[in-house]
Amino acid sequence: MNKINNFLDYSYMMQQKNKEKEKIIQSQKLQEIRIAVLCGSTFGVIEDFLEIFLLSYGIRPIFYLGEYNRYFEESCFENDELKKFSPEFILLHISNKNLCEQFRINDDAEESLHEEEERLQQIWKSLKQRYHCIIIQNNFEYFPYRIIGNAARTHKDGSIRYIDNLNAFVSSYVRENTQIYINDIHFLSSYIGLRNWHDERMWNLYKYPMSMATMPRYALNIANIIKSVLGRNKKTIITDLDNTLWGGIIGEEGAEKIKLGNETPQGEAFALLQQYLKYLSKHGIMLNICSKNEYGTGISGLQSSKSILNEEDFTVKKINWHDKHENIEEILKELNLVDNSAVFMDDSRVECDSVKALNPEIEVIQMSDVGKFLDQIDTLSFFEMTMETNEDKKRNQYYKDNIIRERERKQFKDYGEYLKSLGMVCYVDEIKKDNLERTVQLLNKTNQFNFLTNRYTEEQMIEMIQKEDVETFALDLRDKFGDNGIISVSVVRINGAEAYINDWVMSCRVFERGLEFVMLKLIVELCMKKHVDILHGYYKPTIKNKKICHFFQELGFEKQKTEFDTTISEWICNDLKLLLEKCETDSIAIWYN
Amino acid sequence: MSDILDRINKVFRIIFEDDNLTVSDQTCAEDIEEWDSLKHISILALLEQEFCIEFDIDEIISMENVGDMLKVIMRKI
Repeated sequence: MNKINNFLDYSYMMQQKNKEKEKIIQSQKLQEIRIAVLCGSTFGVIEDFLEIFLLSYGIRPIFYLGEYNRYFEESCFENDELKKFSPEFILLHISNKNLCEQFRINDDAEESLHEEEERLQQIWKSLKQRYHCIIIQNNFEYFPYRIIGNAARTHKDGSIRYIDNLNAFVSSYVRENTQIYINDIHFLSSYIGLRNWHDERMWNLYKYPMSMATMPRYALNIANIIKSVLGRNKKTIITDLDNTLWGGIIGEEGAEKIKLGNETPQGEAFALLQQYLKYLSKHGIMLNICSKNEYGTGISGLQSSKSILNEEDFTVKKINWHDKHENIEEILKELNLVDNSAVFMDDSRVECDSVKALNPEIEVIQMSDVGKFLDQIDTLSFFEMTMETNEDKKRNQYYKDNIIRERERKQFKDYGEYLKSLGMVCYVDEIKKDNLERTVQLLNKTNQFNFLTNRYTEEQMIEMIQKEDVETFALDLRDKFGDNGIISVSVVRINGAEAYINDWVMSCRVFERGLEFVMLKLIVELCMKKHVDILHGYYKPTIKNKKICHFFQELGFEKQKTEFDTTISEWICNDLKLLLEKCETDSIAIWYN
Repeated sequence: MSDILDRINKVFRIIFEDDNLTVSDQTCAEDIEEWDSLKHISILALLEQEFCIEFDIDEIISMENVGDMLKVIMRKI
């Protein structure tokens, strides 16, 4: 069972949370973030619960707690304390307890709805202007009673209708704006059941908007949004075949006998699971197979007309008799992904345990009951999708193209010759409004080739690119197999005769292509144009960016004694002409937009 | 009755993370330094779970020490 699942149980939470916190804080490097909670009701123990879930995602929260039921005032008026705190996230912890207007006798519900919408809009506008951070907005749960019964959904003063309209308003605002996300308590309360969600004693005594047993799940839902925004989602699923994608063992029973589809009850459940996975794959989550079978036998299951998933839905297929953990390592290597971006699913306890033991970073789910599996994977929210750019939808294609590239590569004697054969063209642009969503996403999601691992909101980036001393590059790489999209970004600050590489990231999709030299060449050329003599580079080590720890050194940069931050190493180069020569590459053509 | 007190004691040990903690009828919030309002709610929630009961608002308000909790629980199970 997954650790997160355990923490959804309130009494387990109470017993284990402090021990677990201690353990995580001591064993891991954590990303600190500042979260302000503006309250319509008590936040209290929820803070503790949110902390444990965030810690288990590698995030260490620092909280600012607003006063009870002062969320409107604290959002809409000057608030020095909050400004000083400088939040990266603001959570609006509100619920239907904060909307009682619709019960004012003789009031027009339409009018009160309008009033409520105005209030919310005022809050969002003010928060956006003042804090330039990410807003997490609760939507609204139904009341536990319906004064006029079923008509509450249709009557002009009906409470259900009121909540539906208000939620539709929140949804459409969130859809049309960036940097704001819904914490969908309307779904959560339905999932848990309104009778279990509401606990009037908790409200009357302590002003909590929900029951105690519900709070861990509420906290998890918030943590999932935050980890997704910070680029900590899983990226890929590696799945077994027999008794995982269908019922039965295909090697023994044959493709016609496996349980899949509407002929058997188990088959129904497996078909639903396949639909679920197909949906994920359409939204950019790569699916891969790791199964102990003869290749042809395993594939015959996917070729069967009963199968919803087919061969093309999978990026890498390892169907052989090798150890699973070895196959998994190879899959991740082909995809250029690190262990902690993968979820492995298998029905065998033994396989799950051995993968967990040998690749502890991989999320392992043992599928013991296909009927319960969807609930399990859904609750864990590995693929919470806060930002879906067009790039996400195309991601599967990129990786598939990459695998064809890899196969071609094996046909060439010399790697340089192979690179030339790719016919690569790099389109040079800068960070601008049109590509802001993608460039910020790239900066926030890239871990391996990322020198400083600075994370930005779109607002912060706009502010940055408007500065006069800042120059940026956004590179798009195309080759004969397709367009990789924008895959590398850098931000350079120029101050007189010195230039500083503030940010530099490159997607793992284009490693080993020589693109880093194109970027450096562009930076050096910029320096020369601006009469810069000295170029500064920085490197802040993280668990994931070891790949580039010698990058500057290998190019002849000299290490500097850094004064401002001992975790960062500073490198300088004062022979830009020589550096430019080192960056020459004949396998990538450069086009300036 | 001592069995019920043992089970109450178990809940207190969980909440205050102290395996040596022993409560009696007279134990109240002043006796345990960390017994604040957050902890109080947690105690009530775990007691409800332990004994499969639900306290009324009046009962919650009446609980000033462990003895009061014991009395309410005895009445409900």
